[in-house]
Amino acid sequence: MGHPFCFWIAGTLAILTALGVILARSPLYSALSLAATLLSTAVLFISLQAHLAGAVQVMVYAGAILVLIVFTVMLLNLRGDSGEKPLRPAAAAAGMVVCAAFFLGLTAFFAVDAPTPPAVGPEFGTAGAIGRLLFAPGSRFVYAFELVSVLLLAALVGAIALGRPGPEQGKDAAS
Amino acid sequence: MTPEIAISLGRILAVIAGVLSAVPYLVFAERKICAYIQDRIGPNRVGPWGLFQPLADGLKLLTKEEILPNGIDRFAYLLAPALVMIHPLATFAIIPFGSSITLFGQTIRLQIADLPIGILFFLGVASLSVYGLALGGWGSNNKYSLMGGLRACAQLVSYELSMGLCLVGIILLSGTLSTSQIVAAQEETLLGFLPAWNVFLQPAGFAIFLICAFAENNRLPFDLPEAEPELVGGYHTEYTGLRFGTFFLAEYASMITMSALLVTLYLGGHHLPGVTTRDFGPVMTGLISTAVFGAKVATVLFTFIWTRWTLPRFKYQNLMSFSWKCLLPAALVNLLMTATVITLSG
Repeated sequence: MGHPFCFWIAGTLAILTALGVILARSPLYSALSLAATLLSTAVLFISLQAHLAGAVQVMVYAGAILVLIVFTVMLLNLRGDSGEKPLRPAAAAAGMVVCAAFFLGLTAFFAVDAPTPPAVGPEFGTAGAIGRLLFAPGSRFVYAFELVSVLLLAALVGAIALGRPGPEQGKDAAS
Repeated sequence: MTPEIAISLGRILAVIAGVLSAVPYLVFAERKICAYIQDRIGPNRVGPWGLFQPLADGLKLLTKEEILPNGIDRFAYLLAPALVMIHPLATFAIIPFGSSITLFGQTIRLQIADLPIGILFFLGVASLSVYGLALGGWGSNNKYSLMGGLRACAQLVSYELSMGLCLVGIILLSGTLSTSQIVAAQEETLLGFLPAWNVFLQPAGFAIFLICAFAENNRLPFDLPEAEPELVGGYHTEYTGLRFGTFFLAEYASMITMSALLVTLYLGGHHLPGVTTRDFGPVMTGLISTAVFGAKVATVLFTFIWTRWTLPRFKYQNLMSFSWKCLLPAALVNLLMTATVITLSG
């Protein structure tokens, strides 16, 4: 069960690190902040009983996609010194006003018309429940799910085809 | 403080203290065993049989000068040693290191957290272990460190795949993601005499998992990230004193964690065939099961050390093609056969 303590810590961390993503001057620190944001969101998922969603979030986003981003930043050696612009006070103020307006709007919306979330059973969010939802005989999602995996496979094959050296370059690489 | 929180804290402290204090003696055991394999004597000067050697080594690391090299990325450089400790310590949270023990009227499960997604937790934490190595290699501002860090990451990512596929086989067999239930599923006997350990049900999976475990821990024959003749010392070349010590500690701690996981998944966890079904009383049952678990982990650790001092190192390109062209297809075939057998037998 989600403990309020967990929620406050992970929620605060998620917001702070999300600010870090846009405020950090170095691309690497931005990427690392994003990793921390994703991890805190995973904790939020888990404290809401969506264990599988939390685990997948860590494995796929924090563990695979962000590692790729960090690699790219490291290999291109983007240290963040080049082309650094000073923070413009007017732009920062405008950004803060927009954020405040958006936040107030959201708060007002939930204060007036708070949608009560439907109660969930103890099975909700477990790997078994999601598996049955996706793959049980007669499931609505089974074809969609399989089609998505075919699409991902096509993207994979396409990436390899594009990334392969052509016949000319291939000879150079082999020699 | 409620008893639940006290019990949880107690278990966490016990596990961290246990793993971290086992590390110096693992290093000592490694030095002794390698000495015997090479027909030498090994450390025997400090204390009886050299038993205080790890203490002396630790003191040496503590008192060494901490050097911050020029041109480093300070944040990444200082963060990396802390990040590498996450994987070995966090993974231990899901490992049941004993059955249960009754102290002061409270029955305590000997596992920090029995998560419903235990195996996925391990995979998630393992996929994060890349960060520490990559940041350490990159932050040091040294080409050897960077090369070591990149090699380590490429190796981790490649071998994690085959390891994950082996885990799917186990999940299919036991029908659960929780580590304690996987251990419970291995309690029965096969054909009347063989314990139903997954190593007998999934021998190919066990072999692939073991090879991947060597690679994940950067142990010889897969220690390319720190291959001394090529890379000086890999991603921790520029680290000194206690920061180097942390990398060293993490390496051996993750060896212990990986062995504990191997025991949990394939070697029946804390069960001893024929004995664990008997009850030895509230305290002894817990102690005996923990001792059985410790003995199994020690056996696996001996295999790790034995392999290191027996096999030569791979060439880097062979290391990658071995993972992608041998282990991955083998793991896929293993998974396919497991699924087929389970489907056919209903």
